[in-house]
Amino acid sequence: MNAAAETAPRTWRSGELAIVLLLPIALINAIGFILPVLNLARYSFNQSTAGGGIADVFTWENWTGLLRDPFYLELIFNSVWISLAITLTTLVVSYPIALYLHRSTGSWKTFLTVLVISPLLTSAVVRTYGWIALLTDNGPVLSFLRYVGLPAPSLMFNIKGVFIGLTEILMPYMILALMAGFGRLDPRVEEAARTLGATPSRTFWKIILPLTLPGIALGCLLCFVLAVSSFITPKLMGGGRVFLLATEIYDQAIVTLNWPLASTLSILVLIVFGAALWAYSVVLRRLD
Amino acid sequence: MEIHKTSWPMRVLVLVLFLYLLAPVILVFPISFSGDQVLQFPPSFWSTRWYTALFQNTVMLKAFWTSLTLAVVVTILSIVIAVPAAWTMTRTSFFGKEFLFNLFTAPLLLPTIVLGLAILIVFASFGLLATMQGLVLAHLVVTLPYALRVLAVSLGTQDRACEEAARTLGAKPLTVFFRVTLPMLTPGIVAASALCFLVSFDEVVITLFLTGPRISTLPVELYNYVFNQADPLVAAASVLLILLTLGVIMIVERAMGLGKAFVK
Amino acid sequence: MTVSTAKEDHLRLENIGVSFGSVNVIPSLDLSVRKGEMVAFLGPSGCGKTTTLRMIAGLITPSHGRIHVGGRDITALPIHDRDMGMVFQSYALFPHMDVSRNVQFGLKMRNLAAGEIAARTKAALDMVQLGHLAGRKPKELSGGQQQRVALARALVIQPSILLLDEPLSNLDAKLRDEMRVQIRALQQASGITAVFVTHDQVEALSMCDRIVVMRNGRVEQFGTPTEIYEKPATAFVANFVGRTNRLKGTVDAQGNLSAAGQQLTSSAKLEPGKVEVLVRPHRIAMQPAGAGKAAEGGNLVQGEIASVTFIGDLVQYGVRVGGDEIMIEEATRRCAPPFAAGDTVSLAWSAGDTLIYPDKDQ
Repeated sequence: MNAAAETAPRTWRSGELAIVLLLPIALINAIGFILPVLNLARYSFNQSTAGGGIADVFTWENWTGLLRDPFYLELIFNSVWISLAITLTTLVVSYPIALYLHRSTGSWKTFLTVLVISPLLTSAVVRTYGWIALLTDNGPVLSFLRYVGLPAPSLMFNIKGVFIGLTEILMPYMILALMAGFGRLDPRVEEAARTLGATPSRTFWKIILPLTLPGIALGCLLCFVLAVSSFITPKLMGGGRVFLLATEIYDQAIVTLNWPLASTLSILVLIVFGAALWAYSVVLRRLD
Repeated sequence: MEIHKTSWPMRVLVLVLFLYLLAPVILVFPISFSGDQVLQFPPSFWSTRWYTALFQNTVMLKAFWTSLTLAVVVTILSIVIAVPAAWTMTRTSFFGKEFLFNLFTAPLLLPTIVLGLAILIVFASFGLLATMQGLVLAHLVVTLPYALRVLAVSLGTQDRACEEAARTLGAKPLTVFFRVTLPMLTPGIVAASALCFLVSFDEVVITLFLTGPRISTLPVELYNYVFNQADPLVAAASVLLILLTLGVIMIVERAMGLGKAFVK
Repeated sequence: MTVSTAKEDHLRLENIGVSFGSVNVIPSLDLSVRKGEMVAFLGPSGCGKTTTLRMIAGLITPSHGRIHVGGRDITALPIHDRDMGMVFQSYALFPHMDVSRNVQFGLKMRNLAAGEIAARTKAALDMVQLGHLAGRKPKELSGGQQQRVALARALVIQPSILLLDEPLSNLDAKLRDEMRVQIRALQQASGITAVFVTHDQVEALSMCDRIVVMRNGRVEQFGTPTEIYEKPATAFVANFVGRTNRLKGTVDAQGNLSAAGQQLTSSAKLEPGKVEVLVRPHRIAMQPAGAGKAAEGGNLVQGEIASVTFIGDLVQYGVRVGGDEIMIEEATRRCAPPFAAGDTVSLAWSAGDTLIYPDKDQ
């Protein structure tokens, strides 16, 4: 006998009603999601012909060509490696904010949380433009560096600028994931450690960090996935001189009109996603 | 709590990191009042010339109205479609419900660059490229999962006893829905609408694949503009966009505040 | 278990049962409630009392069996045609309607004339002394006030049965006492038939005409509060309603009862075998050793006080008798407890207070 069963709500069993009410969302999901994604997978085995035409055949050409072309191998390698580096940097710069937010209380905490979330609600174009304004040759950052006599390397149209901008753009996601993970950090555990004689730094390394590892793993997964597929920032700040998976997909689809190759690259992105998800689940299992 | 007092170095570090986080959004405000022809900071003199330029830019104005119409239509459709779906997901039981819910929210997991390409290829054969119908449909693919999630959570946490009370008092199922369930869902609908509006209004990657010279949205036009020349015009547009976002958030806060007032 | 005669029955459950998946929550239940009577469903959580109530309301469809109200079979009737007034544990007031619109809801569903709706709403609110708060939203009311609105909303439709699902469990102790009296008074004044679900024996004993004690989806006993308390049908009922001492005992072939190393007497019928011996703590008289006298055919045992616990209006003594410990309760007196730990005492109780049940755990 369980208590849940005793209060089990009465539910509709009429299947027809469910079908009618779910029909619109199911249709949109089918036309705008399932069909396009299946079609995308199919396209990665089609052949691109001269002049942007597409031959409806089944060939592994796109896949083998991709893996034989040093340009694409480097592109894939660079995308993954830069995304990893960005993820790690984002973690390092987000962690103190998340910890501080976790420890704040009341309206101050609400205010700071709104500050963290607000960039999420701002268009990626606007935020990227903000970074262009900051990092451009006559912008405040380089002007300041020149003013104090430090070297002022160009930060626009190269990977450095993309790196700086993308890190900032991913920060809110990381902070939110970390804060969700901090939920299981009971302040009394910290207090207990301190009363037992641990110094603040030992408390951090031995207590806080281990307890927040699940949040860290989630944040890293999220940011890595977003970094690999980010398009607006690399495109605008790279000025067409930074080649990453996402920008290449767009160029192949819109500029070169090689849809089979673009599809193959897209499926490749999904494979990278799958790998990241697998790595995440392995890490999570280790932590338990 | 004494030991939670944050040390000064930590506070400075957090302040610097917050500055980093907010710098790009803050900077567009002074830049939008630049009097210079090109992007530089600090500007050599202040003016409102870029706001004037923005309001005389017919491409931007047209794109703004397209975006606004698109976002409003998408928001209304999202709510109209997602409310019955969320109700079905929370008030009925049938085989495969969990699977369907995951399927309906799955588009959120797909990177927009992949989804954009996938939709581009299919819509091309349907003749939906660079049409309002195509944009609405594509945006619905991303806004519906948000709406469904928010509304399902909202419906799932509603006190079911209220519906039961209405039924024992003699209300038929449809009456229960319109007189009890729906009014109690108001805060959820407001939140979902705001989210859908902002997502649709700001959507750029998928939209980039589907727009053309015939029809274009504001984020796409801004993207194109920045890609070609990054002058302070975009700063002026950015300021207005940020203010619009703030406005939407404040409306939600107002409505949700009121909403919370009669939920709890 | 049905004890009432059929012609006075207002609510009758016939072989009613329900399963959720593979869990057989209520195997089969027969029950009759008389017109104007208030009956409590009492039992621990998960015993099926709320499920039964919800089947009566129509919120759960029974897997088998029939439900009759006033001689009419309502088993297949949809909820909204059942004419039940239900008060929910969470009150379930409509948060977006003010007090008077909450109370009006059921009347509007019945498409009554505006004048009648207004008059009956006012009467119902006056009945629960909330006329002055008609314009308030539920969240602006205290718990007790919300409870009274819920009651008014259920009663205003003049339902055939009033169903109360743990209505007092969200109130603090003092308010609970007040509402107990008020609900009982309203029920008696309106003469309405009521079913009251509770896990609190005090509510059941003090408010209801009869009590159904339930356990694992079955009726353990159905009787008046006095019957339930004085003549519990099973060891479970004796344990659940009121406090009791529980000793392991045996009855030998000659019909002699022994427990805690003592020969005991009981007015119950004794069958040879292992038994459970139950004695209510406050039915035991405690005297200094040697001073105690057993009544004719009663029990008298010697023991040593192991513990003394002061709990306000009562003092509890734990007395070691043989290998067992017997609990005794005495009302607090002005002076200090007359007994202290280590005292040797004699305990006396009548044969009628020795309750005997077959030992099921053997």
